[in-house]
Amino acid sequence: MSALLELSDLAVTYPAPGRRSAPLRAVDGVSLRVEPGETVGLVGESGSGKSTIGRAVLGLTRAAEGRISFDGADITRASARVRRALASDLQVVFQDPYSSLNPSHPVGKTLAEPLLRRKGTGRERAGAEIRRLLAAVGLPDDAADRHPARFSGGQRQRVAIARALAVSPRLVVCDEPVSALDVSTQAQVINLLAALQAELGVAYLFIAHDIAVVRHISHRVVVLYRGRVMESGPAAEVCLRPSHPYTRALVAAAPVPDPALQRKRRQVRRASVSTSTAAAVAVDGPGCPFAPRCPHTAEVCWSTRPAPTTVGQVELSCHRYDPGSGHPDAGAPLPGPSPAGNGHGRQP
Amino acid sequence: MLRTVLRRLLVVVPMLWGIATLAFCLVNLIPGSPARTILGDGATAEQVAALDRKMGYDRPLADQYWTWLSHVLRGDFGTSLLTSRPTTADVGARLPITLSVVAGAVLLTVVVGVAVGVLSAIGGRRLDRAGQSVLSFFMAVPSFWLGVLLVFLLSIRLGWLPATGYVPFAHSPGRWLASIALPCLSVAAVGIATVARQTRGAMLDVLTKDYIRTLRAAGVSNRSLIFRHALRNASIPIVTSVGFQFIGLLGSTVIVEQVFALNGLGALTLSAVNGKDFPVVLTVVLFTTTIVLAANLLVDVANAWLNPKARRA
Amino acid sequence: MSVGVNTETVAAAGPGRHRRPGDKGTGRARGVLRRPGTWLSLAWITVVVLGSLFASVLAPHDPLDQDLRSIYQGPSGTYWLGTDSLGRDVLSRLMHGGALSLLGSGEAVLVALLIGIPFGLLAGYRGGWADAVISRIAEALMALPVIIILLAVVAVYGRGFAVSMGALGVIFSAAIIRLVRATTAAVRSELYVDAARVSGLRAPRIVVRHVLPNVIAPVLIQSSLTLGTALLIQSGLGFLGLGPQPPAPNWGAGIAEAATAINQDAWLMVPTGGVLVLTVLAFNFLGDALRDAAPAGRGAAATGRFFGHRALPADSDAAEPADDGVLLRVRGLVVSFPEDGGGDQPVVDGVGFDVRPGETVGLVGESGCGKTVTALSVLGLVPGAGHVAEGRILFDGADLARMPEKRLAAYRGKRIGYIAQEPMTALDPCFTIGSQLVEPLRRHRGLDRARARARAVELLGLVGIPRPEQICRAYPHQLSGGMAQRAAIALALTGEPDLLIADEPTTALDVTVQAEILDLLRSLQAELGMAMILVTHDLGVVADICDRAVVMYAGQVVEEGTVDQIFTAALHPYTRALLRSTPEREATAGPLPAIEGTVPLPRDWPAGCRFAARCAYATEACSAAPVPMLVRDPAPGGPRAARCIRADSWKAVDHERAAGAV
Repeated sequence: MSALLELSDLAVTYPAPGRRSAPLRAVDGVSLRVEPGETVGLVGESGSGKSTIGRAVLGLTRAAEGRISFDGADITRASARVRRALASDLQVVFQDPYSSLNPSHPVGKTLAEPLLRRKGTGRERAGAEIRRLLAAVGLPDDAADRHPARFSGGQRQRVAIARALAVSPRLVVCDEPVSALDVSTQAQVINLLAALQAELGVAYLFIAHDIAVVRHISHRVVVLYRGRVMESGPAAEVCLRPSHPYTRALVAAAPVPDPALQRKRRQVRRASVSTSTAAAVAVDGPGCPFAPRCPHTAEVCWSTRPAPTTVGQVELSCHRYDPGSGHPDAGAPLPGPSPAGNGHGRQP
Repeated sequence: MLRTVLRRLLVVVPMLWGIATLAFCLVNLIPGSPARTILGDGATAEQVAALDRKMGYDRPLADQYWTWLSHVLRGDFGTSLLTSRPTTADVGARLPITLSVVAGAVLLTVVVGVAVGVLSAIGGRRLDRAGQSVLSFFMAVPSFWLGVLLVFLLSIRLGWLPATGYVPFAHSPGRWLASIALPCLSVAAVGIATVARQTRGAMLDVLTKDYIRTLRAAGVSNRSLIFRHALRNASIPIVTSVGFQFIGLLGSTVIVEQVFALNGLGALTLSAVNGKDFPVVLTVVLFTTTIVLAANLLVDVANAWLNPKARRA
Repeated sequence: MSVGVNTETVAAAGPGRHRRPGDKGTGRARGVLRRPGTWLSLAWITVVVLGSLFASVLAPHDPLDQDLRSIYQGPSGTYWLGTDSLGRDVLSRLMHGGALSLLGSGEAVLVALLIGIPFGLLAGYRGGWADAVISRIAEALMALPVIIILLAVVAVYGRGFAVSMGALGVIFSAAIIRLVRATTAAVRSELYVDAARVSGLRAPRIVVRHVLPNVIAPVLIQSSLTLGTALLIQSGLGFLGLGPQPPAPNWGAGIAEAATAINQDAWLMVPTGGVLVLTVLAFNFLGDALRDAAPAGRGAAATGRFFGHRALPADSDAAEPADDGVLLRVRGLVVSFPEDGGGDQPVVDGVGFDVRPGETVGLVGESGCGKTVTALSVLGLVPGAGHVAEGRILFDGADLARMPEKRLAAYRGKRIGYIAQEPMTALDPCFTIGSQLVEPLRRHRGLDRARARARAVELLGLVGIPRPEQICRAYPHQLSGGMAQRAAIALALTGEPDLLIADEPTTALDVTVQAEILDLLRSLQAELGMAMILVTHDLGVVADICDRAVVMYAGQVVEEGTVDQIFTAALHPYTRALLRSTPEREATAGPLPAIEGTVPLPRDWPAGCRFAARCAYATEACSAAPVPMLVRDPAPGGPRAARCIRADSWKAVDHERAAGAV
């Protein structure tokens, strides 16, 4: 069975500031799959290329290398016409609820935009459809006549979700949809996305920097660092029992709202990163991008790009886990406790 | 820094060439023949043909263009039809007068404009309101009208300053200053008002920035915040605005010279326009364009120097 | 004559990026319409336009009719504005000349718009080489000496305004191109345009639907200003005698005639120049009014209070004794902002908390609850027109709220340090890190330049910056976010303060960098012994670094206690709900326990409990009257209090509900 969305060796480059320097590889050989009805979380820090991947999938940024296929069809360099046809299957919810809705259009006009483009949708049916959509995302009927300025951030994000779902897409790219929201509103929007998925069977490519949010909503998680995949696998596995040194650092760094547990986690974190971000000099060498901050490096980490290795349910790009890599400690478990164990998590 | 200058020069040179070509076409693509335009409807066909031949207007346009361009590159801008002297000599003789006024006006614009703008931004609501009204008024006042009024009040009625005429700096610096004071003032009024408004806006904008708050919270004094930090950050839009004003000041000066009977570039151009002296008109266009482009270059360099982000790029 | 049309100020009226829910753009537009100046300008322009267009009918005299017996007459019943050197009626000449002037200026603006809008749209929307070529040409046009070019045009095509004003329009189109291009490019980068592209809209449709409406307002503003400028330039040409042949009137020539006769009749200068000045003034005023009415218009007006906090009047109540070991004691703090319709709206409403030396207190809450304003009021740095309206801010026994600006300024940086949220904008982009540190170091510590420089390097080392000498010479934009925040912390430490106020210091940073900054703050605190107020919305950050937490909701403190108390035994339903809705706590699948509804805006605050509308445990009594803080057993860890009528019986309630659910 073919995946709904499949990326293979996707690379996206940007021209570097200097004229003669090589282009920056914002996304560098990323492969991933999203199955129908599934949520795949893309997690990483700024500069990890996670949003760029989303924009490449949506056709808003050109892919330099690799292949993007949707429902088996190659859409890497799809023509404008093919893209327009794809619009009813592929939608987006952006991060900033202030910029993602046209401030001068009433909400109804924004929601009608994708609807009216579809053949055979009259104004009357569009009106009924808009009321149905507003109800589905928990907004009152009269919201259609109001402008975005009259809504809070959370409510705007509901409007953005309604717009994305207006055409019953099969995949929605969610680019940091809750990171601009307050905690209480964030929970509302996450619940809404989950409920809509259960009801409509839509798949999400869920992009976020907050690993707890990603873990909560995703079935599978892909961890990115400087444009490359570090680790991918089932959400609970990756986020609660991280294997890759970078995932470990990421999980250990996220503070949990529990003072006692947080004190313990601080100890764990000391062991998971060797150098501070301030001191780590980024190298564009041939090796592993995380090597400058990794406490487990060997010579091979600086010289060779790690190949994906399957360990249990997860896939890792780390020489430490690849018996054939030549890393002196390859295959042995990482020393030190795993940073996760936040007491509330599902225990194995 | 040097690289910025060189990069800008690479843009300026083709621009100058483009404008020169445009100006050439403007003059030589007149419906009918230039000679007919010069001589007027009263001239006979023989007279027109003779002038066409003399000026080379009868040759193919491309031919004329190459001849003209190659002469220009060698510094030969042609001879005036009215005085039969090289146009560059005429322009060169008038340029100092015009440039004196423009330079004085730019100085006034910058100093007074920035000072008024800063005061308006930090001086409180009432002062700001009053300042805004006065500035709006001066932005709407034509420089030549203001010039006439100034002459009438300060020269004719009060006799403080000479009404007309120009005294070269070399003759008497004091009288030179007196002779350009009123022209400068009437030309600069609009510039001062515009730059003051720009300064006020930029200062108000900068004063709401995060870094002003952090520096203030760190204990940096108000004086340093206003004059060191805010003004420095506001200087980029201010300098850009002064650059735009320069073009306006140059234009105003050309007109205002008539009010003060200054025998500058304006008088030369006006007589050339009325006398259809195309070589002089072309030369004036090229000279002034070069001056404006040089001023723009200066603005760019100043901005690059003021803005650390642009300094390396 | 302002030929250089100032585009940059107009561009500010483009699409606003971040309009907050409370924004009332329409209200502002109405305010502009209510201004008398707007109506006066419109009325004047109408009078001038009608008077000029229908001059042949309306004018009292023939503009060419000479009456040599009545030359240089002042205003009279026959000649309302007097007569000129040939005894012609000035008013009639102005009216007849007006049509020419207005049509000429209109022509220039029309040409500018016809060229500027399409090319600007093309350059802004397409980008790439189209943008490069069009922008270069516009740049060249803007570098033309306008008047000289127009003189050349007149030389070639003869007198009259038709051709020269068309040429002026071509030159002015550059300003329109730049403006439309900038606005279009800004809209183009808006996410709603991306969303429209994803929805399959074609480029022309996007331009019509999303870009053009945004372009109209700034173009209108620019057109109004350009009309005024064109009028000035045109009358300049007229003044030089380059308008139509002499007996026909035009405004510029009228001034020239008046100027030659100034010794005979100075009055003539008034109507001839006045009509021009008033018309240009009206166009400029309309442009400004439009700009102010635009949603993202001018913004700040000079309030004159950027550099002084408004101190409360001193009162006789003796300050509370400070010898109980409290460094900062805030009591009954009310911070208000002026409302649009007049009156003050409090956004912080009776806030009180204590900070003891060396301890870290977290001010926690969601956006709009007043935590940042509370923190800034301690420094006397409430933004904009906001001000402390009531209450006490006792720092080391002295009331900062009642302290004149001069004395309060001495506390900033020296006794109380401040770290802002956004490190990249918190440092002055025009100065090196070193010079920004040296300035307060010299002021606070009285060091000479060299010593201050050495100390700056030392401080940068202290905050964990590698190669501090090099960073000292760097500009803020050359640093990463984490490094910039370290530098900002070093700036806050220059005065070796007793209290550090950190406003969301890690919110803008990556999580691994956040962990390092929190570690740094912790170790600095241990080393220097300062107290800290940490403003944050992130409960994880509070758990990580704070000793005590003050939870805020809708301008009030709703709960206070040690972090262990807050996180394990919260008393207020809001605190409990907030904790449960964080995904970090809830590892199992299924919906997160969200709090329905939203935080009320200040103007919607109810009289009773402000959380009641969202509270699962609310009763009628909750909404009846304001709920006081219930202080519980003053424990060694500091006050323990909650603003809930059930705070004491909370556990019982919880058990009841749990039992009922089973």
